[in-house]
Amino acid sequence: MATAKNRQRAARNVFLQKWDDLGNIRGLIAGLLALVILFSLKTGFFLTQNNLIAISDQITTIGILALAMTFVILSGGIDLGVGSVVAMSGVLITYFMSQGMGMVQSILLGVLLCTIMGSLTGVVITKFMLQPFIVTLGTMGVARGVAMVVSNASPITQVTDGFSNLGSGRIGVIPNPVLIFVVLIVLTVILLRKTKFGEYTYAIGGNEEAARLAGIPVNFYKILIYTLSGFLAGFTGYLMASKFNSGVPTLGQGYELDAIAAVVIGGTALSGGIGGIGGTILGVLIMGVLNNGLNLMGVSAYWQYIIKGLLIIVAVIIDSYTRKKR
Amino acid sequence: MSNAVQMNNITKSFSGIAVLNGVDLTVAAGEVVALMGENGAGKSTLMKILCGVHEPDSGSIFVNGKEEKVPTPRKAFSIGIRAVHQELSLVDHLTVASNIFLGQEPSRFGFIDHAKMQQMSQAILDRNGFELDAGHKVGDLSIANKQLVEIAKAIFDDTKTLILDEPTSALTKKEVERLFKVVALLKQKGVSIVYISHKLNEVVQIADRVVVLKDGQNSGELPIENVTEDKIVRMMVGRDIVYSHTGAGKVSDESVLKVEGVSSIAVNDINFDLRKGEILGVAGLMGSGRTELLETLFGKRKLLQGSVWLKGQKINNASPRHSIKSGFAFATEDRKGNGLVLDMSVKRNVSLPSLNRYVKFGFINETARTKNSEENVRSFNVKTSGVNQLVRNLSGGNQQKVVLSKWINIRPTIFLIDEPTRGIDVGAKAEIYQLLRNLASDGISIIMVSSELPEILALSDRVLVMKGGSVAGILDRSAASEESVLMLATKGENLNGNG
Repeated sequence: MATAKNRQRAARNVFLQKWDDLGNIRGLIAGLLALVILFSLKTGFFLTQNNLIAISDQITTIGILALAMTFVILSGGIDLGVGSVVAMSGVLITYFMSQGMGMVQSILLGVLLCTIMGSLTGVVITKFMLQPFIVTLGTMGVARGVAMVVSNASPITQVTDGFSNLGSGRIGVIPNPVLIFVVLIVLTVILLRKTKFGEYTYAIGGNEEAARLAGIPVNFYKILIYTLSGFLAGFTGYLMASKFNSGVPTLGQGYELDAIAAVVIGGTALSGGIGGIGGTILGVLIMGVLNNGLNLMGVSAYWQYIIKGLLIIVAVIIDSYTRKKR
Repeated sequence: MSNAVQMNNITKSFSGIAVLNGVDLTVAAGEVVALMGENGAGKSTLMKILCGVHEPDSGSIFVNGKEEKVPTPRKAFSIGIRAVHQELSLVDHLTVASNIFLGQEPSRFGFIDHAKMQQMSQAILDRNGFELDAGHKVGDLSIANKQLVEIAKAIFDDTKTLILDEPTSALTKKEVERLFKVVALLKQKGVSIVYISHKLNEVVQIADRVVVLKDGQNSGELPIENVTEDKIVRMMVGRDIVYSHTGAGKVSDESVLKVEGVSSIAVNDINFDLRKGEILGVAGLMGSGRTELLETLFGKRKLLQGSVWLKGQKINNASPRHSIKSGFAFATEDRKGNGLVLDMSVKRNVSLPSLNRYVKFGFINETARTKNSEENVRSFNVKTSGVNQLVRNLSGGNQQKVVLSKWINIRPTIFLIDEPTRGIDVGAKAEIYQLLRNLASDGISIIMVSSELPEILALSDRVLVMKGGSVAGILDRSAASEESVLMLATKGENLNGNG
């Protein structure tokens, strides 16, 4: 009897401890729950299986970009190019196929070119010691331009049969992209928390000079981080092209800002060194749920801009306030 | 008679660590009060509160008998309080005149009146005998001249209270004397002056009264007639000896490091050798190239000439990464700026340069890492709630121990340490000294830069004195004293360049 009670108490303590360890994320979880409850009460449709699957499907694109953006921002950088790279990737892959290249080769080459673009971005930032903001503003233009030039500014629809299988298929009721997103979450969490790459990402963002003096090849890791960003943007581009069964040169405009917003709402500091994937996922979910819920409630798109804009500001205020109190 | 400045029961903490704990200070009109105390005693913080840089947590400030809140430097200016801070706060791209008038530029029809500003600045400079051109760009000036500009910034006609926070650290003797004349002149005009300094001989020359702080509290005060070095030191440290000569370790004859004709942008033709288990102290005035010497050896600065030999092998420390590989460690003077990643835990900081040791098949072995950092925390006596505590929340002394353990983890042959006890309380200082001694007797060779002479003298087996980027001389332990070191540091010309 007594032991059962003790065990119960111990379990509760463990739970409280775990809850405590979550730190800044607690506010996000509470916020997300509040939104879910609000929308469930306001619209009967919100908590249905179909709608939840729809939400998951909607958030994968920004979600994958936000995973990569988390690394970039944690290292103290920023990557404004990812939205354009998404378009470039889709256009390149479909263009290669329309020119008679095999499907697999086209996909690999397209994603590889995006990855190389990411590496080059990192090389330029580190070798010339430039602000990532400016350099990636440049790559944003270049990638969009490449997409436009290659596609002649109109969607490429001449694709190999079966190209859309991955992007529009499902396993059971779950869309493939959602499953891929989940796998990528697991992989990036491992990368960030269990490997040297992740450890150094935090160190570089936390104090680049201290990292350099500790013998960390800072430039090499920064280049790797932008390479990862280029790769995941390229992969996202492939996923979307597959989903739409075409390469759309105007795709992905503003995605970089949504990804940055999700990361920042998730509590990762723009100055680098603080934050993580967990927060980012919550940031992505909050944005996705808000989007979906407001649509269901029939709130006009214009009002949605205002609400989402304010959300970013409020999230950052709360985050900065809790940090100061600590 | 009311005091020009009266600060009552001032308290202030930073991130939970009390820096000031109920401090009182009064200064009469025309009085020069010397504020003394160890590093970290709270002198600078107290003065920053008086001139509006920090706000006190509690306590009150009276200026000429009237209670004042001083939330901003601008407010301090408006009630006649001006300060020369220890750190230079000049805008390099602007002229001397623009710097002197920064934030209160004379204007005509809403535009800055540059001619008038230039003329008024030159008048201030000339009146005080500062040989500077008001039209010069500050970035081109030497450190000593920059310090003069800092001082000129603070001595306006309406200055009623002047705070000088170690204003002489970069000045030559001649310039110091000129500054003292300025202080005497201001005193005659009824200006109250708070003078922060470590140098008792300076204090005795110009102060009327000495107030001593210790660990954020008033520790005592004396009229200048009654001041003796012993009394002041006792008030400062609360016990008679801090710098106990821990006794020279048994330094072996085995030479490990040979530095030959090393030059970089900041240092020139440096020659010395270092034996196993030896502590070589590097002394010199601010700007003499002490820190730059360490940075050059560690590959943070580019080696332009000369060679470095480690155990008979020529090494090329082209970058910190190379240096660490060849067995060097470097604890910088700026713990927070480039020594630690403040938002990472103790564990992650102490393993930063040695992380490879815990990586297996690409993954970090957390169990091994935790175990090792717990050992570090124990053996260096780091006071922390656990290895997962953020370094940001530790006190200065404990942060410094984290820096030391982090470097010991790479098992260095040569340990370069810059200002090992800056901003650390007396108790932790003694611990750090013991740690350094232990490291040396374990066979690690240490090159230690410090601006605190007693520290250099207590720890070093030999003392290398720098002046103007060159070696002014190397003194054996027996020959090293405050006088002999200072002599070399200030008048090294004759001894210079004979190597």
